[in-house]
Amino acid sequence: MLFTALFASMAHAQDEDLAPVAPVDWARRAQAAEEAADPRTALEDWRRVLAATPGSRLGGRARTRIAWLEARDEADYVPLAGLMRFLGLPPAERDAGVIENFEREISAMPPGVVRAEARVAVAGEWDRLDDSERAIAAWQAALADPDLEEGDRGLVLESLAQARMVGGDLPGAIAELDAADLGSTPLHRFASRRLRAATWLPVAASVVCLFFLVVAVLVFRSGRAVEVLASLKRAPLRIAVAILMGAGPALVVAWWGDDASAAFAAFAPCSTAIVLGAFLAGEATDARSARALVGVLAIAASLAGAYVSVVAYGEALPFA
Amino acid sequence: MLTTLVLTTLVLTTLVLTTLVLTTLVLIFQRSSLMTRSIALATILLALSLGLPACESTGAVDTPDAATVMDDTGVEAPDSNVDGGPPRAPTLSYMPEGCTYMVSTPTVVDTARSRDEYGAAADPTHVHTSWAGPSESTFAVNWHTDNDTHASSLLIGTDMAAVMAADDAGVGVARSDGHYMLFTSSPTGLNPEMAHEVHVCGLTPSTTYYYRVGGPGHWSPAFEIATAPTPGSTEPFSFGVTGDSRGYEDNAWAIVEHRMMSRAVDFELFSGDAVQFGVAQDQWNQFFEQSEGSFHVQDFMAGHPMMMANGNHDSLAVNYLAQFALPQEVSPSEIGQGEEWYSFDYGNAHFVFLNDTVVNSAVLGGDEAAWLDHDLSLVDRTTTPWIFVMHHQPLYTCSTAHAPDTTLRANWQPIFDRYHVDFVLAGHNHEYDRSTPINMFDAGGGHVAPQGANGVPVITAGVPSGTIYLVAAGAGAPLYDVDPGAFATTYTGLSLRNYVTFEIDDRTLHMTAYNALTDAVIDEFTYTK
Repeated sequence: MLFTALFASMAHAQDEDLAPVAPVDWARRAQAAEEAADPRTALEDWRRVLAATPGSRLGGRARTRIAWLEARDEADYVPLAGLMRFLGLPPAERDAGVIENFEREISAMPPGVVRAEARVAVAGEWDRLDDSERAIAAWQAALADPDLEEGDRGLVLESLAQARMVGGDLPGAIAELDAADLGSTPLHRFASRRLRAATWLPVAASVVCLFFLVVAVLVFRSGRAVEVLASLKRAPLRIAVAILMGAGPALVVAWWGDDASAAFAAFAPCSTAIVLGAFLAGEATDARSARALVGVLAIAASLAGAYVSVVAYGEALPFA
Repeated sequence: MLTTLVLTTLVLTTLVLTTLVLTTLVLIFQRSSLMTRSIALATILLALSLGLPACESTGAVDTPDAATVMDDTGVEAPDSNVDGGPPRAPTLSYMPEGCTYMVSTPTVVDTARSRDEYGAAADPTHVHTSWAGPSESTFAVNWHTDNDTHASSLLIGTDMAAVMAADDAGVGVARSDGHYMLFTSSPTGLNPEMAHEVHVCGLTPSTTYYYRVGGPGHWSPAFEIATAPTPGSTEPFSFGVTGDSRGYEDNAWAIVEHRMMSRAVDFELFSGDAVQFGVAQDQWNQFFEQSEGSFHVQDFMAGHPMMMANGNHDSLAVNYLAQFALPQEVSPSEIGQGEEWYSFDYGNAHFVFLNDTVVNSAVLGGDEAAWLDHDLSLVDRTTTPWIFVMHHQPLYTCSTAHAPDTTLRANWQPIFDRYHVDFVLAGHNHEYDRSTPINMFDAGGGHVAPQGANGVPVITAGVPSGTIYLVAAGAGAPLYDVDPGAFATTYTGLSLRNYVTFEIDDRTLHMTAYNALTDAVIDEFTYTK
């Protein structure tokens, strides 16, 4: 690490009390000790900084770090050293084996802030590895830790619900949030939307398909399919209108550079196709009942198409 | 006024959509059957219903009215007051005592220099700091009270006990007086809010100070803040980077602030989109009031200056301009009292903030680019080896939500390349992603510059082979997916809540990116110039 190598020789010199050291160098040494997961040395060095220059910028920094370290002094800083080592590993090295080892380390830790933070860290790592089963167990363990900071409880509960969602258990996630009185959180809304989408997305897609199926049937049963299709060619204005209605809003939104561009762009071809389909159906039949049916279906298909677009491409929409 | 453009925006949008609707209706109703008319209506209504929320989330930019010209003693030109109370002035401009720079307010309902008057809720809240002048000798504080409190003062000293004991200036305690701003984003003046601002100048570099804000009998608790090292100093320092707190999901905003405070960074850079709607003061209140257990974001923001970039959701609204004190050197085409783009130094690093959400996009490659070029040309790289640029919408990103902004790339990257900018920091995409070093670009994208282990630039005679473009955002906004394989210029990308710290020790830089929720390291590198 940066400071470790830089000040290894200086640290050696200090151990032997060979030379006076400026506060800035004690600060560097303290920083190096933190990066080397050596909280005891870091604490000693920050205290030296504070003693030497309490009114300086570095003195303020030392005060903050001392307070943070002293709040995590369980078992003479051994658990904290383990946690710092674990969190400081390059992400690629925090694989399942390393996480399992650290879980064993946690089980031997005394109760305290460090153990609670370590449990949160482990749960987050299982999340990162997309192992929802172990993430759920780890979040539950974190939640059960009596030293979990009250302010973090909501976050842990939400993370647990999120892990359930990733594992495909949407009702379980929603129930978890409801039980914790987190029914108004964005995550709850998101999970509820997902649950609704799981039900309504196939329905919406079916409605869109049904509309085009009905149009196709009407066109081909008219016995003059070629003529009906050619009618669009004869009336380019209809095509223009369909494109305007479909792509117009998308263009307007894209011009604004708005977050909703993707959803509108996705809806544009669907919307255009529905309007064109309706034109074709109108050409294909004069029967009032059939035309009314297609009209109703087209409205439903428009709504359904918009719904699919928002669910699939509305990630950036504030209301999606 | 802010509202001028917001209203213009809404009117234009309505006109465009209405024209669209009417044209379509005429065409359809002239030539079509009942069925197609019904479909047309349904589709149009659908488009409108989708369009309205979309337009709501579009930012508009504040265009203040021409500011009232003031003298440097801060004497404001009063206007008549309809309710017979003290005269009200919509703008104020003055040079704070001991400072070498002028301070101007945006156009507000009422603004004036501090006077010791108090309302029922005079206790300061939302206390936060920034720099409008040199970081080694000044800082600015903003806070909020009820609308009847006009005391905008500050007590400061290096002895905490003396500052705590004082009710006014005295031995070891100085007092600075600032100004208040009663502002609103409503065109009809509804729901005004009170913001206070004080500038403190003439401080000693690298020194810890204690201060309280408010006024006699109504002081806040004491906060601790430190000045920067002298310019060009090789003293180590660190700063945090984050952005896009809007939405405040997962309590991420409070957690990020808490983490940065624990890591003892010296200050914070915020890449924009603090709120969903820049004009929504209730969202700004959330921004300033988030908490995690006993920690409140004010605990951090009151002692660690936060430098802001305007995001497309912040919209340079009056709420943004009134509640943050940023450097105000007005350059051509710049609005927002000169807070649109600015720069400052801290130790041996130079920081540039740009605005990429402008009314007239020609400004990006015009006056703003000219200012950027001029600003960077003044940096002495022998004493200031590090240059960081921050703005909102990234030139390079592997997000699946917003593509890289190639317009900004064309306008600004040649300048970044020319002056060997070390880092360009952005948000907008709620994720973490880091580019390879990049130098030059063509129609196919950026050119990957020579890189060392872990994607760091190769340094030749103190000059980096390329600029690293970093997106570090999502401190509360919905996370976006990333596709790190999509561009050769992407070094790594992750979709998670994150924050970044930079530690600079002379010519060595150490960057660490953290998972905000667990504090695990997700990316880090070190290099020396």
